[in-house]
Amino acid sequence: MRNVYLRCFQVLTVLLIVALAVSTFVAPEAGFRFRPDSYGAYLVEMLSLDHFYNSSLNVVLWVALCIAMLMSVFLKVRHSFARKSLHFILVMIILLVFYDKAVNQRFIIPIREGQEVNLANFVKNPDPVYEIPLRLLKFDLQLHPGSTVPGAFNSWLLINRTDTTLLAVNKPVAVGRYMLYQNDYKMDYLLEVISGGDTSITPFNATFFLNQREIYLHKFDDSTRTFRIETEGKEYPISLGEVGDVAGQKIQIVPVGAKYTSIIEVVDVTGVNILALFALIYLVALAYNFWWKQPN
Amino acid sequence: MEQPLLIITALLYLIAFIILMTGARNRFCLGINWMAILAHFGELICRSVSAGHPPFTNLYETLLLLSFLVALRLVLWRRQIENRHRWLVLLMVMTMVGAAVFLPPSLKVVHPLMPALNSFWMYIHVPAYFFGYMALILAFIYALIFLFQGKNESSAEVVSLLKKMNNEVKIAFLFLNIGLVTGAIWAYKSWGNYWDWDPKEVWALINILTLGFYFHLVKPKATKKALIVILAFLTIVFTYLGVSFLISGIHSYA
Repeated sequence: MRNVYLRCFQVLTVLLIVALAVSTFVAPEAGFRFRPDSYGAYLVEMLSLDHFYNSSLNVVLWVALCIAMLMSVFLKVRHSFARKSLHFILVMIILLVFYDKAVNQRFIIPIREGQEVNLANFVKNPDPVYEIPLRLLKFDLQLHPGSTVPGAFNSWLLINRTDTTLLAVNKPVAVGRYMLYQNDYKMDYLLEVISGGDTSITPFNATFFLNQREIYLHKFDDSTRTFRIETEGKEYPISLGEVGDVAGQKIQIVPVGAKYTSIIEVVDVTGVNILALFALIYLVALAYNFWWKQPN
Repeated sequence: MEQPLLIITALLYLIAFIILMTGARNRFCLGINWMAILAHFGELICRSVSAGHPPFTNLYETLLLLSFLVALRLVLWRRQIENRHRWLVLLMVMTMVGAAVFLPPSLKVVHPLMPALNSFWMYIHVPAYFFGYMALILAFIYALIFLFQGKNESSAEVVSLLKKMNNEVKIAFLFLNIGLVTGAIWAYKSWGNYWDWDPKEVWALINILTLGFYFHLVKPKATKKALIVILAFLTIVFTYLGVSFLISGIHSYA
C-alpha cells in the first residue's frame, strides 16, 4: 500500500515540476511563443500552460497531491507520528494558500495628496463597517543620493479623520480585516479647470466632470501653446490661464503644480497569520524529522 | 580595493588547487586555503562597506557569498571530505570566484537598494537560500563521485559517501524550505502577497519538489538517488542563473 501512495506522489510531483517549469517560459510576460499552428502551441492551449497558475489543472494537481498525502497519513502508511504531522501540516498549508488566493480580496487604491477616499467604495461587498475615510496628508519620497532610485517612500494617512498614520514599504497598516501596503507612487502635474461655480482638479490625459459634462483634457500642445479639451466629440483649444469657450461654456485652466499619488494595495488578510504559523511549525517539524527521527 | 582583493583570492585558490593536485603536503595546502578564505572574507567586507549592505543583492555579490560558504565548508569540516575528493570542491569554488572575476563590469556595479529590499528578512531569506545551495553543491559533488567510482553499494566507503550525500540533501532541503517560507513572509510584509507565481518563486518551488521526490523514492537505489541529486543541482543552477537572465520577474535584480 505504501508503494501506491509513493508512486502517486512521484507521478504528481513530476507532473507539477514539468507543468510549472514549462509555464514559466510560455507565460505571456516571458515573451516566448510557439508557432500558432504547432504541436507545442496546441499543448500549451490544451493544458492552459500560458496561465497555468490560474488554471484548473494547477488546482487539480495540488489537490490530488494533498489527497495522496492525507491518505498516506490516515491509512497508516506512515508509521511515525512526526512524519504524519509533517505531511498533515503541509496539506493544511497548501489548502490555506488556495483558500486565501480564491477568497481573500485584494485591490489598489490610488490617493492623491490632499484627496480623501472611502475604503467602502473599493470593497467588493460594501459593508457599513468599512465606511472608513482615508486622506493622504503628505507623501514623502527620499531618493538615494546621486541616483533616481527611491530609498524610501511613505504616505502620511489620516484614517477615520482622527488617526494620523505612517504607511511605508515594509510597514503595513491594519484597518479592520484589511491591511494597507505602500505599493507604489506616481507624480502628476495637476491643473484646475474652472467653469462657472464648478471646478475640477485633473492631470493631463484624463477624463473629468464639470457642470455634469464629461470632459477629456489632452496633453499640452507645444506647437500651438494650448490645451485641447474634448467634449461631446469636439475638440477646443484653450490657452493656459485664459478663459476659453468650450461648447458654449466659459472654461479657464489654471496650473496647480506637481502632486504625488500614493498607490496603496489593500489586502484582506483573514487566515494569513494561521498560514504563517503553520509554515513555521512545518519548518520545525521538518528539522525534527530529519535529525531526531530515523527514516522509516 | 575590491578588484585586487578578488584577484588575490582567485590566485590563492588556484595555488591551493595546484598544490592539492600535485599531492603536496596537506597542511601547506590547508594554510594556503585559509589565506584564500581570509582574502575572500576581506573581499566580502569591502563589498559590503562600499555597497552599504551585505553582499546579498546581485549576481556578483551572491557568487562571492556562495563560493565563500563552500570554501568555508571545505576547511571547517574538512574531515567530512576525503583528501582525494577535495580538488572537486576547490574546483567548484574556483569556478564561482573565476566567474565573479570575469563578470562584465555592468554586473559588478553597486546598485542602491529598493525600499522593499531594505528589510530584516533579507538577512534570513538570502543566507538561508545560499546555505541550501552550498549543501546541494556538496551533495552534487558526492553524487558525481559515487557515479564515477561505480563501486559496490554495500562497501563501507560507498555507504559513507551516500550517507554524506543524504545529509547534505537534508540540509539543502531544510534551508531551501526556510528560504521559501522567510521569502514568503518578507513578500507578505512588503507587498501583502506572500506568493505571486513569479518565475524565481516557481523555480524555487521546483527545487523543493525535486528534492521532495528524492525523499519519496519507492526503491531508494543509490544510483537513482545520485541522479536525482544531479537533477536537483541543475534546477538550482537554473533558478540561480537561468531565471535571472532568461525570464523577467520581481526577482530580476537577484
